[in-house]
Amino acid sequence: MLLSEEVKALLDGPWDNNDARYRAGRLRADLEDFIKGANLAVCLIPFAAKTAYMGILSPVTAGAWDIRSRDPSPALRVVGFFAEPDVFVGLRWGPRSQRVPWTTKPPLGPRDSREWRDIIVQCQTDWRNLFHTYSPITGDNVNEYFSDQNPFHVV
Amino acid sequence: MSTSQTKTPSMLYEIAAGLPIPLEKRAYFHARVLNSYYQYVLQKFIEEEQANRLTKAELARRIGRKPEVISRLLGAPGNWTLETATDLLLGISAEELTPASVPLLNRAPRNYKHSDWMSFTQLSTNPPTRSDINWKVSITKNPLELRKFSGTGTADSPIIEVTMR
Repeated sequence: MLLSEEVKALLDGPWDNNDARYRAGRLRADLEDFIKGANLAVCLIPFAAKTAYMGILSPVTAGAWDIRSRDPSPALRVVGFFAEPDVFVGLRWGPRSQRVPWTTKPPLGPRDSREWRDIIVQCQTDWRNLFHTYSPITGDNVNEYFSDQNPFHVV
Repeated sequence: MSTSQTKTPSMLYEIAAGLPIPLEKRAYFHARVLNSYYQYVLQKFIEEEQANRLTKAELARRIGRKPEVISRLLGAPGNWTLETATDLLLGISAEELTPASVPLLNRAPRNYKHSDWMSFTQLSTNPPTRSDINWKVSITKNPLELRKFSGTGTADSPIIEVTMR
C-alpha cells in the first residue's frame, strides 16, 4: 500500500483535538488490515454492500476505489487506485456523510454528489503527477485488483 | 537523492518507556484488536460455509438474529462487542473465545527492507510490482521524495513505523 502525503498527515497528526486523534488511530488500524492479509470484503458495485471493506467507485471505468473506515463516527473514506494487483495507492481522504469539526473537508455525501466527483478527479490528477503515463488498473474484474495471494471475498 | 535518514519514534515508544500512552495509539490498538476478532470469527464462518455446513440463515436461526443482521455483522466489525463475538463463534463452530495476549515489546523486528525499485527514478515512472514487495506500506509525497513505512511487529501482527529517506 502506498499512501499520499495527505493521508499520511491525517494518520500522523498533529491533530486539533482528541476526536481527530482517536479517529486517526482507528483509521491506521483499518488501513493496516489491507497489508496484514486480512480477508477483505470487496464490492464491485459502486456504493453497494455498505459493510464492505473496499468498494469500487462510479464510474467503474475509472478504477477508483475507496477503503471504508466506519467506526467510530464520523466514517472516513480513503480513495485511490490500484497500481498492481494487491498494491493500492491511497491518495485522498474525506468524511463520508457528515461534516466533521476537525477538518475543513466537506462530507462526500450521496453517491452522485459533486464531492465524490471531485475527489475522484483529484485522485486522477494526483496519480498523473506521481506516475505519469503509468495507468492504474481499471475495469470490473476483481481478479485484476486482487491476486490469489491474499484472501478476499466479493460481497 | 538525499541519503540521510530520519527515524520517527517507534509506535511503541511510550509503551516501552512507561509513559502515558497517546490516545491515537490506544485507538489504534482498540481497532486492531477488534479487527483481529472480526477476522478470526469471519474465517471460522467462511470455513464452515465453504464446507457446506453452515449458511448465514442457519447461523441467524442458531443465535436468534435476523439474517440481515448476520450479514451486517459478518460484513464489518462495526460496533462488535465481546457478546457479539461470543454469539457468533458459538453459532458458527460451537467454540468459545478464551483470553490470550502477546507481548508487544522485544519482538523480533520485521525485515521490511526495501527493494531496488525504491529509488525515485524508478518510482517516478513505475509503481511497484508484486514481485518487488518486500515491504508493506509506503508513502509518497512526490516522485522525488519517498517515505517508507517499515514494520517492527511480528510476522502475523505488524506494527507500523515511519522511516524517511
